[in-house]
Amino acid sequence: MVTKDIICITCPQGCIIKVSGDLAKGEIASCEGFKCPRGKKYAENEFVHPVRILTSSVKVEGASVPLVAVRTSAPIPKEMLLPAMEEVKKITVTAPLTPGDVIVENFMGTGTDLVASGCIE
Amino acid sequence: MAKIYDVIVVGGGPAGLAAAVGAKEAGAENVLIVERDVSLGGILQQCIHPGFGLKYFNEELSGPEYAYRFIEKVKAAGIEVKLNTMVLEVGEDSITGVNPVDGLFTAQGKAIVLAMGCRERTRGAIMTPGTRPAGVYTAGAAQRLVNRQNMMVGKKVVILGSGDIGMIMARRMTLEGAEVLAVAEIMDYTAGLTRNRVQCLDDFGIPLLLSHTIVEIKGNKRVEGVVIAEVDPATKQPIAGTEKLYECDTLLLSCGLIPENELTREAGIKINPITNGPEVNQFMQTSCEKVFACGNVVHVNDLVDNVTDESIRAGKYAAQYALGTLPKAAEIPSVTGNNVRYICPQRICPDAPAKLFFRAAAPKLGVTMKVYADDKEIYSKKLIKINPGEMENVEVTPEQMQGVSAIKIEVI
Amino acid sequence: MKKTDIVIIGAGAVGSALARELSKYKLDVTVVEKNSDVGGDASKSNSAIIHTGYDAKPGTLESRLVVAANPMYDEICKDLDVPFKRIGAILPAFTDEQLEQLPAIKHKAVENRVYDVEYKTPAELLEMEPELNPCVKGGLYIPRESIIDPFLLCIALAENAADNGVHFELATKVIGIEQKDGAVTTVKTDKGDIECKYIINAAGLYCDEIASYVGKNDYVVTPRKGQFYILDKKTSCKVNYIVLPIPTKITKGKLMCPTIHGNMLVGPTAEDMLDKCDKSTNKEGLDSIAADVRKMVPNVNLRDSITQYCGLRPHRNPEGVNIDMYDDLKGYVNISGVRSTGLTNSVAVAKYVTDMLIESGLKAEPKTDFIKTRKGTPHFASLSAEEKAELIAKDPRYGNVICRCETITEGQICDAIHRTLGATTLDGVKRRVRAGMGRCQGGFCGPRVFEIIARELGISPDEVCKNDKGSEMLSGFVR
Repeated sequence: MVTKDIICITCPQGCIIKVSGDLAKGEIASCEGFKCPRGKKYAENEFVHPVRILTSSVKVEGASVPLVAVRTSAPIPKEMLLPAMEEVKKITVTAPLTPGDVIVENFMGTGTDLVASGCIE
Repeated sequence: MAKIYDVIVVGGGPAGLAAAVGAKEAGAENVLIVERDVSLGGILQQCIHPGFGLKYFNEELSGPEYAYRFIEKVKAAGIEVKLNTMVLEVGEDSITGVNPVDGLFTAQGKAIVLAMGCRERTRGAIMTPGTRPAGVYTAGAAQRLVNRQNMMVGKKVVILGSGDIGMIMARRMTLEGAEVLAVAEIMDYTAGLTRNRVQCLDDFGIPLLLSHTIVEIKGNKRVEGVVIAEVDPATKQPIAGTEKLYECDTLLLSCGLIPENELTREAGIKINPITNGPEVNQFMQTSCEKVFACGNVVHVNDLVDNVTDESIRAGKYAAQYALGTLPKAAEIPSVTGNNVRYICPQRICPDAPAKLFFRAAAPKLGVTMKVYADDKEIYSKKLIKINPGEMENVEVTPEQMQGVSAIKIEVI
Repeated sequence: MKKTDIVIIGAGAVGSALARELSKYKLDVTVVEKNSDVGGDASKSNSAIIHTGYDAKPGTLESRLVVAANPMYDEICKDLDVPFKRIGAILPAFTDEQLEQLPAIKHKAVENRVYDVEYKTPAELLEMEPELNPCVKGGLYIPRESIIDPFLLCIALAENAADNGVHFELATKVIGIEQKDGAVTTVKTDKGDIECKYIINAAGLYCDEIASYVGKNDYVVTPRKGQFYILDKKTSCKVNYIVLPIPTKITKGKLMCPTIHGNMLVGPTAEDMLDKCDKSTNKEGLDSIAADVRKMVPNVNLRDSITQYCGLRPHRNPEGVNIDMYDDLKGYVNISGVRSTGLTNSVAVAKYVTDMLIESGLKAEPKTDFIKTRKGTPHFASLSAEEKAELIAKDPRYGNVICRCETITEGQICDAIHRTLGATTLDGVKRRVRAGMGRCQGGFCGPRVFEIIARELGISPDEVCKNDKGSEMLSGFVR
């Protein structure tokens, strides 16, 4: 049984949520201190398996600017952030792009896509 | 006869975009945005991180995504835009600008909205002693270089100040392959949002040194290191004997933002000494009735969503002014009480409802926010905590303000 | 091997003024400068004042040179398009003890042939300078003390010299001097040797090291640190004159004055150091400026500081300006002891040394085609609306404002890069056209300026330096 104080980052309030449970089994025994359902969900996920949206930029060809912003369409496991950056660094895209355009489908097998987040005309 | 715009918006960042859209939606026919950069969106274009739009769009967007939604609205609304254009002067009902295509030009407007945003405090302003080598950047300048210009500012980084941009750049530099040695913060609390501390520093094990500051910058050509010392929390003075050298090639500064009000001052508009922005009423109308202001030029916001709300209102009221439908009445002041650093708007027209935004002077747990109409308490709310880094707000109604000479907010 | 008639070591104020003076004659002149740009070290970090010499030690060479130099500036600055203003200085006394010193100061001024110093009553002083401490008891007015753009003075002198045929070898360090049969023959540098007949040591802080190559170092030079604040143009408390303290036995003290561009300058400290590379500011020094200047101008608002900097004055021991030629070493001129008055007396030193060389036998025939004037970069912000429109019509880059604090356009920056001895670095652009000199100190325009530098010079942005090699602004690219 482990207890963690998790600072909620779902919104700027930064609630401190106390979560207890079994990490190995991924089971949650108790969760308190949240002020909204999103906070509860975040704290529980954060306890069992923390995830983050990855944002970065990739090289772009055929545009007046050198880079276009990219993001994962949904959060990916936190421990994958740095390995994912290695993949992002290898990518080059061609203009035009608008936010949401898929650059890599099922990015690194995460089930989320790497999409453009900037607009390049 | 030259075209007379209903509303001219100075600045095409988040505030300017929202103000222009707000003005158009409120009936202004001819709206012009004047922007000095090569594209619209302002600082959002370099804020490639997530966290925008949670309040306004109810989803988590990156800065460019947030900007894109408003740029599309601006385009759809047929709002005129002048890019690459620096405004040199704001007059009562005109602006003078310059760009390579039009040269020096003057545009007439029935109402003007100031949305120039803010700039970062520099090393010179915070007076960090030491040498003056290359490699000292404000966090925002570094962010632009890294995220938009494809330029890496350094490999071994120390960050002074725990403002949001500083913490976000700590994560960015780490993700892009640099080593961030520490974030030093002179106060005994984080200047930026808690979520940024968690996501940007804690996630990557970057040490946050509260009650610490940089007492010397070393290196003659490029930064070779910085000396960090602990400060006395009461006096903020460095404690002798606590100095420690951090060898690094880059120092990023995230030590606060200053509303960009050179044009406002030149125009003779009244500036508030605490916010460093123009004093406004709830219509975001400055001391010059034809000139409105919104976003970080008025007061530094922590969330773009708040800027959007405020700017849509500013645009709407500027349009109403241009159309001659904005109410006008004797105004009453908003007054800061205990642990309130500032309130915006500073002036209230009692005939219309007003949302008062305010910041605490110091962080505190378990507080009560109270609003008074003269001596009478009209509102009270318990808060789990209050933090100067996070803006609070409260609404007052015309009924509450009838016959009142001032509205006061305090936090106890 | 390169060959030239005269090598000047150092492109500070003295070296640049000498280069221009010698370029009036049919001579081949080469300036060797260790830094990547002209403008020197001490010449670019000082109080930016053109002194009258009223307080020099009477009878000294320094007194002669400064007093002679001051009247030369009206014409030089007009010819070379250098911002210069005769605003005058006041020397207020706040204690009886200080008041008693005024007659001696006035007498000394007359001994220095500065006859136009006048007494002023407290009422007159407060009218001239409303921000003065009201307990002022009297003071002196020195009308010809003046302010100048020190960067542009050196740059303009050097540019004009180059336009008149002087070669500048920048980022080139002198590592030795060769002599034969009692005369100099060669300057050895890290970029190769230069054969020459004359060598003029104008190396300022490093003149003792250069002198040691020929065994003429019968003195040492140590740095005397001077720290300054620059205040925002919109600071809450401004002065109209150069406000000077009454000097004590130990120091000339700390002053407050407007800069030629409308900022306020406050300082300097005077700290004797050993390390010639230590140009760091420190809290103690900066705090001491605050304490001292507040005695004269109580409301000085140092929170409006936009930057602080430090200059190293070359302090000669034994003291005094010395300009020497030697019977046993023909062709060598040693200039030493040029200190805080150096910016002023540079133009007089140039005349003095040139005369000395001709007297010693240098054959110098005046040119008939000497270009006397130099046109500076257009100053967009101070042009009239019509002039602005005309300039943009001619070159649209003047319509692109890059530095918003000082309203500096892309056209100006490109001009600074492409003119004679043009800027190759961020500091070079800043000193020529002031991009980055304003309240945001290049926070906004810096990245844009180094993109322009890279583009115009055809180099990679990561090669662009703040100033000398090793001060690259970037560590590489993100992708």
